[in-house]
Amino acid sequence: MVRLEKRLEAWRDAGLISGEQLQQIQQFEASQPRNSWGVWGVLGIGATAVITGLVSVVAANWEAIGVTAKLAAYFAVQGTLGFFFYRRHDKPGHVREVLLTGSGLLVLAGIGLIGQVYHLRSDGWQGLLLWLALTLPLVLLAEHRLLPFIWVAGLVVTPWIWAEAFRGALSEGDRILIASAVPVVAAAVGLISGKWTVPQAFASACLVWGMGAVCFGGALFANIAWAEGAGLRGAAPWLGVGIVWLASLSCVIAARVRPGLSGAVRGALSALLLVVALGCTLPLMLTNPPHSDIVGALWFLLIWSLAAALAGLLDLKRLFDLSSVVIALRFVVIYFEVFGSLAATGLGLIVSGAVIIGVALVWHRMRARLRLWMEARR
Amino acid sequence: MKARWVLASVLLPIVVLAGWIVRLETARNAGREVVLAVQAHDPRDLLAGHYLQYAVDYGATPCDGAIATSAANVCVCLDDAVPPQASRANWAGACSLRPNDCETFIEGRCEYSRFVAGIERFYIPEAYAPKLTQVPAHSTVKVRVAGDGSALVNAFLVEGIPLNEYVANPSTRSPK
Repeated sequence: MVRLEKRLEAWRDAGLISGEQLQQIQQFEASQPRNSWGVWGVLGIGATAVITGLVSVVAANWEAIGVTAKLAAYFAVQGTLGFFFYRRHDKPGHVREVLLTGSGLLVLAGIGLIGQVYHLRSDGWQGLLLWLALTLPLVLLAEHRLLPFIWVAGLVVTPWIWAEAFRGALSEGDRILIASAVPVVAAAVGLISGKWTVPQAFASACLVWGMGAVCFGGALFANIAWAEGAGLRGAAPWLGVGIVWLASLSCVIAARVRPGLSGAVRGALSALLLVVALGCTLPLMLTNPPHSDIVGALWFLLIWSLAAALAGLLDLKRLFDLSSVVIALRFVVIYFEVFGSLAATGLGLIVSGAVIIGVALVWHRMRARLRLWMEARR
Repeated sequence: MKARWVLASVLLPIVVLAGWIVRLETARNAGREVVLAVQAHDPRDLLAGHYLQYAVDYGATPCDGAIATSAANVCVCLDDAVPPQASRANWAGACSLRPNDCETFIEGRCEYSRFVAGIERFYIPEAYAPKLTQVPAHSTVKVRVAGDGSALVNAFLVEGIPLNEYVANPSTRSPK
């Protein structure tokens, strides 16, 4: 607010706004409800102190507490949080969200407690999957983003734990690809929210985690799959390939039906999803593709170039800058991959440093030009 | 409508977890109780976190041969040994081939040629950790085996003595 006051005064002094407009803006801003980080901070410190105290008391006496008492205490706390959330569910605010988030996270603690009391062996994904299923209705009630972001993070991570631990009828390639498809489905849910009613906080979490996994995970996986394809291949993972393509196409369709997107944005988004799907599945189907390490690096650059284009078209400056930094860093990595041995010598270090400075300068200049070019096409 | 949805969302985890406990308690008290010998799963690391990780000694290797890499569920039929005598396997193989006279059996799967049935873990208090740096000799687990092949660990015994008593006084020996 103080920063805004200073900016407004600077604009008034520069003749951009009148004194009357300055007052109107100040009155308008003062009347807006504040999402105060200060209040959140104080609430957070208080809640952390209470929880830490409770954990300390319980941990110090854990062995003395009987099994029945532990389970009864868990259900009492879970029920109390649920009751107070039910009482406040129609009163938006911090208290409602703290009760909701506490209820959701406590379910995971309950699953862990039952596993411990009954000596159940688990690879981890079973418990997380149960938590995801039991808390989805609560997550859909969230108005703030914390619980949905934690839940979708769990949704992205759980299939990877499953892919690592599960040794059933599916090949490793199938398991990895099925796990890769989950964030793409999450992104599709996030995209579809513009067309059908999906709670805003949940849709936002799906979109951020889903597209984040598509860009970061997809680019990395495509790069590795091309470079190390033979090691990942095993039996042709047709089931996994089919599921990845099904998820990617559903995401493309979601992007097509989502209202408010320009043709250029839809095109860039569709191209990004299809390039990631192709990059992750094609190398697992081919036998000894030529120059696969170079193709892998180029695929990485292509994915992040499309991500940068999408960010430019959507005017997401931070994502655009992040994308261009990733591209620049990949160029530096390519240099070290090719001329890595040079870095061991003094001359090699000078050349390497010059390359890094050169890439940074080119990135800086290209970034501004690219943004202008994108704006012209928006 | 909204209030009902909220109520259902709040009650769902409570009801499901309570139902799970009822099911586990039922399994704990039903079925046949057997004692199984155990040995260290990894001799260097008996203790993982706050639980004992071990391999059950069935007196046979259920995951021998082609079944080790197949996706089929594996069943181990147990003999009629009466506790405290440890039960041994008298048949092991794909569950679809289980003999008709195999009444007490444990169902599991093969992981890296090791038979896993979900009974290979026993949670212990943190204070026990320093006293359990190696597998105590003659360790067994008391397991409830249900008619459908599921099993639940009820106790960890060392020479027939419950683990907490053994840790409290390691020199204690049960009468032979």
